Amino acid sequence: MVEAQAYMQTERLIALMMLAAVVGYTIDRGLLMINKHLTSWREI
Amino acid sequence: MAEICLYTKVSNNQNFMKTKIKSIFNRSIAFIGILIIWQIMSLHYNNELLLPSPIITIKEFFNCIVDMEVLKNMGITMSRVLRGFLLSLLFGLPLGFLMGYFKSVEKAMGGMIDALRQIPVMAWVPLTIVWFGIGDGPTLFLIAFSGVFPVILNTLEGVKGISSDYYNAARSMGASRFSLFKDVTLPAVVPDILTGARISISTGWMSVI
Repeated sequence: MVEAQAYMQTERLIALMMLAAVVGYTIDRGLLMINKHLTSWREI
Repeated sequence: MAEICLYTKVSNNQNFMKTKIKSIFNRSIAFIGILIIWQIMSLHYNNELLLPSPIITIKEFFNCIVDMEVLKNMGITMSRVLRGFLLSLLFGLPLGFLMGYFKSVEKAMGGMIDALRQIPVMAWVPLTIVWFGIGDGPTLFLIAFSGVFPVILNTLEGVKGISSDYYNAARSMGASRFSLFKDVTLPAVVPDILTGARISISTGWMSVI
């Protein structure tokens, strides 16, 4: 990302930002699933 | 009777499918809308340096996914985030429990923690380089530092939010201190800990990049 920034590769920079968002979203969904599994007693 | 059950089941499945399709449709509409606005803006500016078109960017996105260098760096970053996150749990959970259990600890530490968490993470960068040198040390510190506060605050609020009736009921049945922690506090506070963990890992991921 820093390299893309330095070489002014805007399309690569945005693509890497999108990749970071996808990975972050996947991690978050994973934790949410663990949350739902561990606290299934809360679901009515 | 069996027919009624079967009918109810089929009807529930149909409702579930309808809701799912509606949800996917709504999300697609939002996504396509953003792509259209993006395309219009890129045509308006007509400068790839300023704003490349979504088609070029999406092509680059797929190039990045198969680029071994990017994947290797992503793996290194994820390992750092995971280690920093574990560190934040290691320090945040005991502190959160202590602060939730003992009012004196909360009074002693609360003000300092509230002040520390207002400091921007970037302000710590020069100091961490002096303390930990060049390498993974400063990064791990920054991830752990940005992630520890959501863990502490959520654990603290979780412990404080448990009704004293549960403790009294368990005590009346002869529960020991350890049993109170294991069977009352811990199960009640797990949802808050996990919410803190979600926020913590997100802030860690944001601060490492």
